[in-house]
Amino acid sequence: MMQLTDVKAYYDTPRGPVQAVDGVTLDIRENEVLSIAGESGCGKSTLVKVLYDYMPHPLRLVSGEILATIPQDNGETLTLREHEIRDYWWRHISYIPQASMSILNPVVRVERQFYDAAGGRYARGNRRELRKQIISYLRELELPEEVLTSFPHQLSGGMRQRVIVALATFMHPKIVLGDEPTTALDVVVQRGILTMLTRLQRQMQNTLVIVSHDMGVHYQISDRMAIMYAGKIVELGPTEALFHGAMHPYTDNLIKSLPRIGDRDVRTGIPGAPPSLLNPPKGCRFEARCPHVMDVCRREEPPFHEERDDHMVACHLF
Amino acid sequence: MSDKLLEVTNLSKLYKIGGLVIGSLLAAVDAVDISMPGDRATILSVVGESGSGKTTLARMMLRLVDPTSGTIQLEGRDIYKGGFRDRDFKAAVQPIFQNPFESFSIHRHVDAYLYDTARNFGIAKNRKEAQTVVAEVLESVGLDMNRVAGKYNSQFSGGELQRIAVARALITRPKLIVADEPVAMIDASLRMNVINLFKRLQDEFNVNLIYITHDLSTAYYVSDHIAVMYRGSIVEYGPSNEILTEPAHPYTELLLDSVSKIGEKWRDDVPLPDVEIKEYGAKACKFAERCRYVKDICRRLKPPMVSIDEERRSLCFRPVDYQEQQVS
Repeated sequence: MMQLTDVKAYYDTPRGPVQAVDGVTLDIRENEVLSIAGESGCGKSTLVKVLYDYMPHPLRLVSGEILATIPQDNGETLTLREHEIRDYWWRHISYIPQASMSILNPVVRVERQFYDAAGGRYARGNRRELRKQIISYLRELELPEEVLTSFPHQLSGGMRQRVIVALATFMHPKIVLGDEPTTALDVVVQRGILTMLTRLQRQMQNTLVIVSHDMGVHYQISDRMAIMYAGKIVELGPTEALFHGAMHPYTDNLIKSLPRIGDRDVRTGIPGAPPSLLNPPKGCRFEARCPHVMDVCRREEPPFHEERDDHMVACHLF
Repeated sequence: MSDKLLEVTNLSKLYKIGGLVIGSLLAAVDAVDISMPGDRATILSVVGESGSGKTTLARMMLRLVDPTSGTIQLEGRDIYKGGFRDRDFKAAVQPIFQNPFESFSIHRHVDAYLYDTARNFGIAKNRKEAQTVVAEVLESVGLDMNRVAGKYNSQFSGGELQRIAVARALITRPKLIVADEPVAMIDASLRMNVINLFKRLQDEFNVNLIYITHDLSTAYYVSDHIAVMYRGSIVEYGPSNEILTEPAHPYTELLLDSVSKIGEKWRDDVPLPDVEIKEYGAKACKFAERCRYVKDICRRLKPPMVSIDEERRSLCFRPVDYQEQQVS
């Protein structure tokens, strides 16, 4: 569906480039839920921006290849390269940002925002037809029709996020990207929206890419999971395999540090902090915090390779 | 009652919302009772979703917001009317806030805040004494003086800054720390360093903690008791291992079902009444419209606070078979 080869995307700052995404190779498959985990500043949101071909200054694609192959309804395949993807926003690829007030236009009713998103494909005269389709789609998602005549501020946070999900999926895009789509929402609402997203994915058989810092969310919804650390993907594999047999010491310690209800065993955090992306270390980027650090880790960058079946890791231990 | 560290009785805070003339009152905190024992240090978690009133409750306990009615007593003295001097109160009850990057100015060295606290509270008489005090508290949160001295907040991770905030709070040797979402902004790999620190403060320094959070799993991990808040009321209270393994209140049950747990996938058949609904009158259960066990009586009458066992309470008609109760 989408292939990234050694992609580097940096933010230009007065102090030099911040290497937010630094050499990421990733294939995103058809009909899967792929989730990207990592802490703040690890580059996971930047990676999604790269996928969405949305790189406003100071973010810039330094090198690498992005290739999207999108199956068309007529059986043909549409091949898109970097900087071509944006022409197919909404139609083939859509983006759900973190739950926020600022994504919907605050002075326009939701109905108009649907027309704008579906714009171009429908001539003016077809509004009534389009409205019917929108209403039936909202009904499918169990959203009340009244949201169409509301302004964004009149909706609750959860409802607003549902409207955004509805907008993003209305055109049945082949790829849906979600950057922390449920962060800052209450748990009950969060579960509702995640359930809605995965149900839509199953119906449409498309690709859903979700970024989250919440490991529980990953466990609940994703088929495959990528762990990012300091601008690089350090581990990628089936979600169950990652939770039960994490290979990279970062993933392993991160999962072990999570408290669980019903289990009071002592947990410990990972000491230290991630390196600065202005001047990352030459070898492995986790080297300073790693309990298994060896000499080679400080000298050489570990290669990202397939170690077990469909399970990739970048660590000198393997 | 003076053997209790903290005794909150029938505490309410009403906010006026809406226009000058009509407007209505919103009970951000609605007749809350909480107590913390004085004989040993405990950690109490207050959990709830946004808008449940947990932050307003914390701010009242810190004397940052005046309650509309009800009392808060610290070791038997009313914190508002008991003649507490500002400095004495602040020495006894210390806050920790959500965003450690906002707790410290970007224009000052972070250790300046520690020196200020030591001097302002009369803990240290001169700079030299202050230095000893600061070094001591930093050590107790696992940080080194050399790591902190003369640095700005951008030179620390969120977890380190939050530990410095804890160190600052410790200078006055407080009896109680009120921490409002202290780890919400901290990355998962560093979060446990702060949470474990709270446990250590309890065990080693005998510091009580009120831990305000929306995260059930850290609340379970760290606390002795949990109070679950919903729309201003405490709907369930009890020992944390009981509350989160066998919830008594339907709201606690719903929260637990919604948490994205690891190792246990969500079942598809759980109904999710998460669509927000209009407020019911004060004379009913606030949770009635979302409750999966709702009966007619819940929409007519205020539910009673029922004691389930010695330590547990639930604000619900269900444990009393939906029978009308004598209001006690």
